[in-house]
Amino acid sequence: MKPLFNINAAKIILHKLQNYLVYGRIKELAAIFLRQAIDSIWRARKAILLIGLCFYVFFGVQNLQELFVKLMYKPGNKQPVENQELNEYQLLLKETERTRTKFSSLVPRSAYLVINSTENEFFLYKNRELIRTGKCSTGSYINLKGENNKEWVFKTPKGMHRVRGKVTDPVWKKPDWAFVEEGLPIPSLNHASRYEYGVLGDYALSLGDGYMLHGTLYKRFIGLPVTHGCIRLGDNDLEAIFKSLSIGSKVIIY
Amino acid sequence: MKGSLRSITEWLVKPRGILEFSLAVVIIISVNLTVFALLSPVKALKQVNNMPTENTLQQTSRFAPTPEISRLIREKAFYESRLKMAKTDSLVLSVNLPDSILSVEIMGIPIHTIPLNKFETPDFFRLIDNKIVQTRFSEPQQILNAHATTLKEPIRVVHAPKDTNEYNTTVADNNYDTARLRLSFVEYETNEKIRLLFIPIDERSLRHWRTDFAFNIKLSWRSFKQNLKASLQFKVPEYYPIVKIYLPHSDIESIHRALPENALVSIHLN
Repeated sequence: MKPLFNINAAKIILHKLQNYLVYGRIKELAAIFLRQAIDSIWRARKAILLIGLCFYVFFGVQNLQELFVKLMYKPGNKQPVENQELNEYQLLLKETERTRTKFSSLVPRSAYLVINSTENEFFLYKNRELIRTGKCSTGSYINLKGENNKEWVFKTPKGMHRVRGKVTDPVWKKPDWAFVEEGLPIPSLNHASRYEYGVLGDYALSLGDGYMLHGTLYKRFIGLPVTHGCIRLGDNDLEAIFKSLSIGSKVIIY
Repeated sequence: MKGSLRSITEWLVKPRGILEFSLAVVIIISVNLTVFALLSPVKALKQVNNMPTENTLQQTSRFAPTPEISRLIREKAFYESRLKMAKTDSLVLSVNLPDSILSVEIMGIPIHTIPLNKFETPDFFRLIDNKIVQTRFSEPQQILNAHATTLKEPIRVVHAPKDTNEYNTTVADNNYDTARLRLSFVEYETNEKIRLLFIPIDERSLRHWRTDFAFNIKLSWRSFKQNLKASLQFKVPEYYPIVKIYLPHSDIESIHRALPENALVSIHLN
């Protein structure tokens, strides 16, 4: 028996209808949208140009300048040094080498310590080689304001320092700020309450002006900027530094 | 006269009139700025290359500007400049672009050396005559202006407690360095009119883009003001070649905090 209608033909018709209804409509809508967008842009052309020019003036001029400089540069020919110039070239080479060697000789062979107060790290060098690195603690940058306009800034002094003294089992003579910070009355200069034993670790190296490299009881704070200007180190690091540095050794803080 | 003034005022009062007037002003400014901005590197180059050189350098003037000789002259100038910086006892910066090394030094001792994985230099430096390089760049440069998103000294004011009771209640974590939360974008301007721009590379977050955008706006605004001021006076604005250096945030912060105000800088040009 013959079917009432061809199923394939129906499918094709349905597909075409679908195409017209869906894609045709989308195309139509897209065309309308595009026309309207172009129309809007055309109407707002002056405002768009104004905004574009403002952007160019603000951000683009510098880039254009750099592009212009790039165009000005014409790379030279990579020609070899000619014979007549060879002697002069060798002289320049020798002079450069001598300047380089002179500069390199400034690095000391003796032991010296470098402290990064931003990252709270230390680097111990000997014979121009890094022999030990680790964490330390440096100044907290706290500005303590006390009574009678007295104030203290707890920062580690940057620059080149030298070891001025070395002590084992150091005793801490507490300065005035140590009492002010805790809300305690300031005792007389040599009062017994000023002396604290065992809080600075086993060794201390003095850098002058009251600043020291020493140990600490608060090991959990090592690596953080928590001190009053001194440099706190872990026990093993302190021992290694104490043994490596002698009086007069350089300590560079940055 | 009165009528024409009135008609101009009426035209301006209209919204489209204001727009057209603004457009005309901006077009004039942009043309003016473009012309003067393009003239500024030409003028700067002319100025630099016409600078007097020392008599002792006559010897090098005989050299043909082959890349190898240029390299040696620039390297020698760099080491001479570093030797001069080493005579001071303060922290200084040396930027070695051909060898991609940047270091903070004191008395010739490099104390913080960082390999430069990414940097951009303007071609302006290649246009400078070798004689000039040897004279000008064998002297250390000085930082005259610094702009940064991070503080050099993150000082926090703490008022002393009145007694031990107050101390015990306010002893909460006072030691945290809040300045570390900031991203470090730093720009130094030297007396040789070179700008060193340090850009952090280790973080690509929304915070990074925001800080970068704000810092760029600040720098662009400054350049725009300088250029506009000069061009309105019909003067060629100053040209500042910018060396862009991309470094980890911690290194930028360490450098910025290490260097004193008006620190010395030595730049090895490539």
